Amino acid sequence: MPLTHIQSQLQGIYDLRLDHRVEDFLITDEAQVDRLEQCRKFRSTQEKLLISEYDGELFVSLYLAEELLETLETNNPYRRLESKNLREFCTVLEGVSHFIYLTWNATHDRSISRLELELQAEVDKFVSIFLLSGKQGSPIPWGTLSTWLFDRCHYDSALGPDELHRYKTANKLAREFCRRLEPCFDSEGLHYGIIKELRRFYRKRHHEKLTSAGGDVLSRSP
Amino acid sequence: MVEQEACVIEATSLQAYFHDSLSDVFKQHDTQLTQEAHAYIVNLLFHFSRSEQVFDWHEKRLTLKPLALLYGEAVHAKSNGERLLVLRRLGDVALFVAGIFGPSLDRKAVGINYYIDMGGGAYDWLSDNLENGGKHSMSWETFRELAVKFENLVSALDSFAQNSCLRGDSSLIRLYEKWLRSKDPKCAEQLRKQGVPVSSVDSKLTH
Repeated sequence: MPLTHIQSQLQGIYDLRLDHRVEDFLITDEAQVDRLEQCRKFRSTQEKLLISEYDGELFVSLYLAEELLETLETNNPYRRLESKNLREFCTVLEGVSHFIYLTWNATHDRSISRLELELQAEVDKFVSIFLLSGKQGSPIPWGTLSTWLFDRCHYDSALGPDELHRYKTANKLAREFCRRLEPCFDSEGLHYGIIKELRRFYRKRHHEKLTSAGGDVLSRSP
Repeated sequence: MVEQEACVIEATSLQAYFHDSLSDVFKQHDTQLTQEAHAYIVNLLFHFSRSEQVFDWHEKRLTLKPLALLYGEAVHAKSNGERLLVLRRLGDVALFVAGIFGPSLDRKAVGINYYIDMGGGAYDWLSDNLENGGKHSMSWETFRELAVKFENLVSALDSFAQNSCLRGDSSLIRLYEKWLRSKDPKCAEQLRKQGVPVSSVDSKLTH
């Protein structure tokens, strides 16, 4: 199942030990999501991480629309990543990335902000697609991937202004982070230096993570 | 002219109250501050004693803009001046909220350490990027000091908030805001009892 592949790929890149399997937290029934959200009007999306905290315990579910998983079952991106499954792969990868980042931080008793969650997911998508396409013998050039993922992305028109702002900030910081890593990327894989940098970045949080991603973006003249 | 005089008295008295109370708290916490940093905190508390200075109006209610969104505004700022202002506000809001409303952050997804980290980081960035003696009214040394002592300042402000009944429905700030709006002598009396020597100028004279 692609979910297992995605989880093990991300855990491998970042050297994460996690006792939870994403499949065990998966929901594909939209009606169940509505019930969990208690009919509050949240934006309808194909991927959603549902979180609630009660009495010091964190309850997590990952909703992925059935059709996303069907597409990935039919056109498995781990056999061949192509235009037929790239969008769906990104959406599912984003959900799995959120799940891993949240649960890993929660198990280490670390709080994270939604901006950090979105930023990490953007980086995860970039690195995963770059690696997977390289492994399959048809590496997507760094610039092409960056343009597609960061410059030509579309934002849901239903996003509220705060959410939109958060996504745009995460996008800009992730693009900056990946831009600085470019000289270290190798189409044949990741050498140890870049893996160390990615692992360090994963474990940073709050201000340090944001500035580490953005580099000199704040110091540069707008 | 009477109105102006009354405003000066109000401002001076509350700032003096903050100044003296904070001096005591900083001593208790063994936190040594330069005069500039001390004055900065006093002015910060005074400025934020009006809730609309801390919160933003959104959908007919006051909401606190998340720090991450402020950070995003800094990232997307159209000029360096705008970026400085946004990051300064980020640091200020983080310090005020973590210090004065720290206990309520226990119920948030991100805890007090997030505020300390983000606020301290913003001041640190300001200290790195401000040209000493430039157009900005603050020196980089003050922001460096605020960044380095951020956690201690939060802890001191927490004690200050507890001692001054700044939290809860009967909070000093709420009482002060009510008095500003109404000039109710009863509010003035309650404020005086809590050590805030507000002006006794009659409301008729101030309008």
